[in-house]
Amino acid sequence: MTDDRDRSVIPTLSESLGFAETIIEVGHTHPGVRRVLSTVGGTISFLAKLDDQRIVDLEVEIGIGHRGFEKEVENGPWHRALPYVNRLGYASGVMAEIGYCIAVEKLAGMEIPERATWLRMMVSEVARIEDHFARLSAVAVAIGLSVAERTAHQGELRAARFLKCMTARGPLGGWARLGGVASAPTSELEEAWSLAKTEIETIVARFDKVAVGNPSCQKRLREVAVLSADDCIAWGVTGPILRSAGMPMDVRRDSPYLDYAAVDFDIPIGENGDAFDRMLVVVEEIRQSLRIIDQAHSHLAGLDGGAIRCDAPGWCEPDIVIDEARQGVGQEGPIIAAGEAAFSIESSTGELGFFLVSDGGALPRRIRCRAASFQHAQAMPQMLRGGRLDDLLPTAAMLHLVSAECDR
Amino acid sequence: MPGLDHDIVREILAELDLDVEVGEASDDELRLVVDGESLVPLMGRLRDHAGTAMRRLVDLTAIDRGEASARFELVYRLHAPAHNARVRVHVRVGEPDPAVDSVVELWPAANWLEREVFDLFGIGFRGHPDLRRILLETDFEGAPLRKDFPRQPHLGLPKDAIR
Repeated sequence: MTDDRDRSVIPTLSESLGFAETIIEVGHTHPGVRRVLSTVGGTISFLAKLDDQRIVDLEVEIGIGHRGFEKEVENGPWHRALPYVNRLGYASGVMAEIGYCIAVEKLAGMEIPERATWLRMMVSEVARIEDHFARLSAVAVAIGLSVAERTAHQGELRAARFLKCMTARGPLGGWARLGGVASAPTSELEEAWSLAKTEIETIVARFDKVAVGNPSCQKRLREVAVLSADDCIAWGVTGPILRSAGMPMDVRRDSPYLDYAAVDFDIPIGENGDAFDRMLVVVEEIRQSLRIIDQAHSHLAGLDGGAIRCDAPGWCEPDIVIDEARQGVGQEGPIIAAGEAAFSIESSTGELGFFLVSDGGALPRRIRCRAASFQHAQAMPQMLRGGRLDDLLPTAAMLHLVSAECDR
Repeated sequence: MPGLDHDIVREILAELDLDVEVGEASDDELRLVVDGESLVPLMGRLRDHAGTAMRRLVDLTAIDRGEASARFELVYRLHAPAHNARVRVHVRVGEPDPAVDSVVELWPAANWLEREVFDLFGIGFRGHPDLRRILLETDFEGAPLRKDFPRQPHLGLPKDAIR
């Protein structure tokens, strides 16, 4: 089905029959039906101009899920942005939330307790594993590998369960606070982690066998949607997609935040920048995240308790009941001196950045989110021109476009 | 800041004969403030000079400062993967008809970023190949991220009334 890569010599059907080019619309779908109908995490649609099966040109249509959150959060205190921010990840909202908190702390020059930073790092990596598994299962659906899909989905659920054990909350988070975190895991963490680790390792090994080592999967994904490292840089593509093209760029290594400088981990890179290399990189990143969590876990065990929030006035405030939140009671939030701060984290999709501007009051002047998915969606025509229509969904799944992040 | 020699940046500025404010921002990005005319020449040099090699446009956004003289401030965030260095370039743009030259020629990534700023702030980019709305529907009126755009126009309330 996909072995006729050298198609330039064969006249296409439209060429031989004299058909005009076809335009076909792919998507959009409801974000909730992602696993069944769409491999994209949300409402993104494509207009593909086809010559036979070949994509001549592609238009990516975004904005359907635009919430206007950058406008919305300018009218409330700094922590009011958290419920918007934690929708920026598909299964890793808590990681985006942590990134926003660090950006605000950086703007204010606020130091947070050691235990909170290690907890944040550990939770970020669990969320990364969950999101990476979600990506892999979407890719497996798109290329019709149902066993691999179920395996990856198991991994996603397993990581979600451990995340819940750590944060006492679902994947959307609501756990990070400006100046700390809401809760510390209970004393059963030790046992829960060793169990989760063994199970996730087994699932990754099984995925290796049923997908990565599966010849049909290799054949299907090799040389699909290739983007060279130089093109990635020019188009602003980051994360596993960039690394699969052979460029070891990772914010965790290049400008370490939290305690990433204190842990050992490798940055896996690919060679060809095609869909198969992307899969290899993502699978290896799951293993590296396990390594980081392991180290963070032992470090936390050595800390033996300690504060998880700073106690400056206005910080870590909203552990209030929902009624109070509706009435806006007790929600003044921190007052931050005039200034600006730019900060990026390595989210599971790529570089997720925040640019904050304060006028010196309780309300922000500007909260800007730099979304990795936005740049990835923009680069899709570049990847797919000349490719086949049936490469579109695996590519979109592999890019892990999150429409809440892309459209903001 | 790792990897970037500030003297090289000053050299580039002197070579282009630009009077540019160079400052260390509160974070680890170098902060430059330029005017609209010198934007594209400066960006071109920052990208192509071997000492800076800002090959990546990380982000482009705007701030509505609400001041009469130069209301908007465009913020370009650049990254040099080779040196692992970051620079932020600020440009003030005044009303009426705020616009600057496009940098799509330098970084293809600027295409959608400029469309987004055009969409949400109503700032034009001269020379952009395809300047139209991107996140909002085509018949939307107004620029919602401007401070004078009401927060919830459908409720007919002033923007502070809901707080």
